[in-house]
Amino acid sequence: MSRRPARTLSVLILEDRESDAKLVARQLRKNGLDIAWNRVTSETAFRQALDGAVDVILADYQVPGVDVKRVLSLARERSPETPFLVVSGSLPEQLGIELMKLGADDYVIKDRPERLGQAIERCMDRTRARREARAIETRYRSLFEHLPVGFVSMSASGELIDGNAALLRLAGFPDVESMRKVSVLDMYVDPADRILLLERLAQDGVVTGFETRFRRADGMIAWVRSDLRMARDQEDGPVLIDGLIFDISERRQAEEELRRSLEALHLSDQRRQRLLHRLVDAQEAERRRIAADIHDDAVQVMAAAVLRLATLRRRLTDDQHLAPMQRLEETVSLAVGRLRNLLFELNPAVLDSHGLVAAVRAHLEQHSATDDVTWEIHNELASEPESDLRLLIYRITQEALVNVRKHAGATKVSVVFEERDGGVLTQIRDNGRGFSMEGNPAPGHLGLASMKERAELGGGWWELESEPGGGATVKFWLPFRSVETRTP
Amino acid sequence: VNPLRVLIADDDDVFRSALADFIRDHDSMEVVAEAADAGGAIALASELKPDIALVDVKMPGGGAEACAGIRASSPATHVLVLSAHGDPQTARQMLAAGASRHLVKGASSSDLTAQILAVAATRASPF
Repeated sequence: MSRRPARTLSVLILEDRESDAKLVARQLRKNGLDIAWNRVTSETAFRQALDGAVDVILADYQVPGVDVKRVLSLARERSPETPFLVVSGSLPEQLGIELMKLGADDYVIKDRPERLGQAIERCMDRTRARREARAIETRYRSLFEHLPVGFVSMSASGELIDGNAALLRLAGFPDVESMRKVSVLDMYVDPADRILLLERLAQDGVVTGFETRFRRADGMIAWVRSDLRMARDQEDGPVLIDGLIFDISERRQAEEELRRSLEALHLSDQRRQRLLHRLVDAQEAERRRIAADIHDDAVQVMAAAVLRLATLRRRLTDDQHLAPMQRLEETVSLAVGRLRNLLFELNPAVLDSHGLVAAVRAHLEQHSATDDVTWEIHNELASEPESDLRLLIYRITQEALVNVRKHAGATKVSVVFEERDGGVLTQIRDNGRGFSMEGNPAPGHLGLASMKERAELGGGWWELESEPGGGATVKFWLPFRSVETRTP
Repeated sequence: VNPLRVLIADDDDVFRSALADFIRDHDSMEVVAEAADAGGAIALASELKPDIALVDVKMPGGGAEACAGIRASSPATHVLVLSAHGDPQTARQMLAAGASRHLVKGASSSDLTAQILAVAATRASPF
């Protein structure tokens, strides 16, 4: 803040003697003030002059026909911030004090003119400070008014002292006066909440995040969050409660909706799981039925064919016929062996009797005789998965291994089971040709979609990592719980 | 040398008759009886005391029951079980019930002959 105003100071002088006015002006310039002055000698002229820009008023209190008190009140009314200094040849102390009470900023005796410059500067500084204070107050008041959060200030018994627009909106009152007719504390619907709120305020002085129901003026109930403090404004002043009140009805409503949709989700999840069980049960029943048919019929008949061919061969003596007959017998025998593998795939009894790893090992052993693939199994599961989950893991693993055998051209395959995030993570990794995930799936890869579908039905996920030429890894995770809860 | 006396117990007519014809075709063996269930097999074994009983693991009355019953009523009879499945657990069950060997249906016929003769050899030279 500069001590000297940068611009020319416009001085209004009420003075009947021009020479005195000049004297004053000279003195002010001598004090280093850059001034332009205007002398008036009547109340009418003074009034007119106030319409223009005036920075300082210097008034002689003894101008004939002018009542200095009237002029002072006029100036205070029309231009409240402009410093008003009384200048006089002699001024009774009493009158000076009286004029200052009426709003004059200072008084200066003409025979001590050297004081004048200082007095004006002091007045100007005070005015500037006042203006700034008012601007700050206006800014804060505006902030307070426009805060999107309810601000409340009340007595310890709940009488409203002050509140902003957001508070009035939240509470449903048109203005502060009408809201003062009720107790803010009474608007907290639940008496127990109210008591708890006051107890905590009394104990800690502060309450934050207090969520409770709040009754609006129209009787509607809103959910609010209160952040309040209880304190004395001044040391011996009354106890006040002030702070912020947030309308959280929308959030509460959203939470309620979320809760409801979670419930709906949970219900549909249960339905999904029931469907999964029915699907898995139906598929497994179908497989058992086919397996039984193959076992009871096809295998018997073909095994009989092997024996009949053998019997026939024993009658042949001619090498020309003997060799093809031998091959035919071997072929049929091989077909029975393949049917036996199919029986195992359809209904792996070993899964229930010896568990997941034994079943996967049996699957791999069955095929390793004919495929040139080396394999390994790493089992890091602490316990055997429950039977539905075990079957699901086995079926997806089986599908993945069939894919490796049919398409990957791999020489090595590994199967890893481990516990992860409340479920089982299974990884089937091969060193085959891999394939690009972009574009159309390779022919015969329908199995990928069915694996993914099965995993998702089981409440888990499935993914394939593959680069052309870089092998492939099928990874899937299934939760322990999801397939456990069977509803009858 | 007397031919080996063989009892066949299998509920599948097609397989049983093919197996019987195959056995009959060998001079070293003869079929003394055929049964289609465990009860029949035990009764016939008890009466005829065959050298060998070829028993299906899955037939009315149960393959394991047939096996144990035959061994109880005719301790000198060697039981060879035949299964379509070939799963190790069933094989263990049957061996526990007193079977000497476990064979898979549809495997090569020369293997079948070899197994029967191997069991018969233990008869010829008991420990």
